[in-house]
Amino acid sequence: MESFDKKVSDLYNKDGFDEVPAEFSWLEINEGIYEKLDKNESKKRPIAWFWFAGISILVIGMFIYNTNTTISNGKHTSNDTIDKESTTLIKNKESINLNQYNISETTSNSYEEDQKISESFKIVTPKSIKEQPTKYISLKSLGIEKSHEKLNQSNSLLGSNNKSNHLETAPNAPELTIHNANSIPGPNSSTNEKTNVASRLTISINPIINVLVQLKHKAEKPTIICNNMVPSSPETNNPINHNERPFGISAYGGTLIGLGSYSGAEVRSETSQWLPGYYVGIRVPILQTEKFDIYSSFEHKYAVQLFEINKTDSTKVSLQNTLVGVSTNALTGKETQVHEDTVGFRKTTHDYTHYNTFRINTLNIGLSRSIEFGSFQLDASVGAAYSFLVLSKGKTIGNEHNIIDYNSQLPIYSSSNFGFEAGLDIYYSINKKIRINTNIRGEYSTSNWSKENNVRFKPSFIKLGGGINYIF
Amino acid sequence: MVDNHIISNCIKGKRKAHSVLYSSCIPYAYSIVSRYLPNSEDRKDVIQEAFVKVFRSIQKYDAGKGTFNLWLRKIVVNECLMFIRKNKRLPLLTSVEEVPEFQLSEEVKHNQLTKRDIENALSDMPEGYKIVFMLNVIDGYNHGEISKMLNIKKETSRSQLARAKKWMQKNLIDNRKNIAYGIF
Repeated sequence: MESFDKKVSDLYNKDGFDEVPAEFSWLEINEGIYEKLDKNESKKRPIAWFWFAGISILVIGMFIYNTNTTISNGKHTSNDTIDKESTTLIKNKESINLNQYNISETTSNSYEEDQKISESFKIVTPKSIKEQPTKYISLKSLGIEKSHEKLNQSNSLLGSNNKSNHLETAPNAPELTIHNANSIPGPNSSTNEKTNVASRLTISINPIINVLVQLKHKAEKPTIICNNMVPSSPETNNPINHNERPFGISAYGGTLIGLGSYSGAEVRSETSQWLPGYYVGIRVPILQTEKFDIYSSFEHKYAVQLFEINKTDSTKVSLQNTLVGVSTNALTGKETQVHEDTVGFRKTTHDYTHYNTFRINTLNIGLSRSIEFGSFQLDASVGAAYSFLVLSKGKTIGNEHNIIDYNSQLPIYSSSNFGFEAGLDIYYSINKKIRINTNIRGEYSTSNWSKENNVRFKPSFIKLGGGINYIF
Repeated sequence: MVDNHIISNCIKGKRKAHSVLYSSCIPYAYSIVSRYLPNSEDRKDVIQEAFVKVFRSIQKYDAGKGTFNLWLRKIVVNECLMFIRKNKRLPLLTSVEEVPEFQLSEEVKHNQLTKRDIENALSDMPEGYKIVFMLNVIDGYNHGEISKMLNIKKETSRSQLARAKKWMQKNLIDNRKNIAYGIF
């Protein structure tokens, strides 16, 4: 038996080869080879560009996000420092070794005088912070070490001159008077209407000057140092956060419904149907603009395709000594059977079920727009999807148990594909940190999944599911 | 025979080296493809695909693991199988009951066998038998390798080969009889 195998092998491998037709010469065939080589090279370029663009967006997004966070934190820190320092100053009255202000009862002589002085200075009182950013202060210092001030409210205030952005004092003036612009008395008003200040404050000067210097350089808005200033709310104090949308990571998943069939492969297109699969993923916003979020997500999908095959194949077979007729001798009447070698066809019926399974990893980058209504937020998104087919297997159920790993053995499906994704998410806030959401998304493949000649397979997916969103 | 100089120039992407390599390998590659694929256009497609793979992955060829022809054969045979599978010409091979090792009859005097005899027999052989027969007997793959290439069990490969040889014996005898009777 082995000698038969060897003989056959030698006939094909050692005894020379058949003559190669002219159409297979290098001159005839090299063009096709180089065309295919170039085609494979050009396929790699869009992939590289996509990754480059994706990584660039990610890096820029993270940079902008970090920059915004730093600025935002910086502003908080400035104001917090001011508040803390002013509070500390009041608390540390007893440890003062520095310049002091003595505040005592004084009254101004006239409205005109008050107004002239008040035009030179600005002040913000706790009340006026919310109502109006700019108030007026008139300040007459009694000297470097001591001064008196009169307030029309029971607040003790120090302020910056907003016009000149530095502290101005009147060293030779005998008195220091501060007015709230809203309550500057009219010409006919009685001096009794003015509130006399009876409190005495001991304040260290140097930290305040430091703060004012900071304000001069960092803040264009009128900024106040007020010892009993009510801390402003984050909404008024942090304009960046005012319109900011929640920034959080979403984990989601749900049912995957496949759509689309094969064109150019008759049996498969007629018999294929999709079974429900699943998808899970993580979505992260990488850049927030005034109206839009740019997000990126990583998703794993499992899709199943079912084929109910029922077809008949014909195989040519040679039939020997087959009865093809009966001849009758006209003279004797004797019947003779006629046998011939002939060719027939053996018909084989295939009746089985076949499954295709796909495991796909997808990277999405897209744009989303949010609309808030109460505790709910509607999020519409559209983006690009780049999918990697990590596993594609076929399994035949029935009489013909045949598991085919398309990925490793038969690369009949492309390993990577490009597509688009669009969807709607509805978020519901459970608390400040956690939101739950439900989503419906669609994904459409723009590139052909099939590597077979003349076969087009561009599946689409509908994704129905939900998720959880953690806000930072 | 392909020398290392041509291979190294092919790795560098020199077209002249591609031309030399192709011209020296095409008789062998063509003899493989023509066994698996009867259609000339199909052969051309597969030859092109095979040499695209050869030129793209020639740096992976390791002379220590075998001759260049063995490496080429693997690529060409894989391309042929892929083409057959894509075009749905490869029947699903079923696992059948254990078949005892088949012994070729003495009636077939294989010393007198010619390539033409085998080709005639193969041309009528059912596709499933034919592929296993060619992979094992002509191309020298063992059942383990065949089972991986066709995604079938080793037992299936063995039984298909036994059936192929049985079929081959009968066909060779019949053909000889036919020739003797002047039918062909």
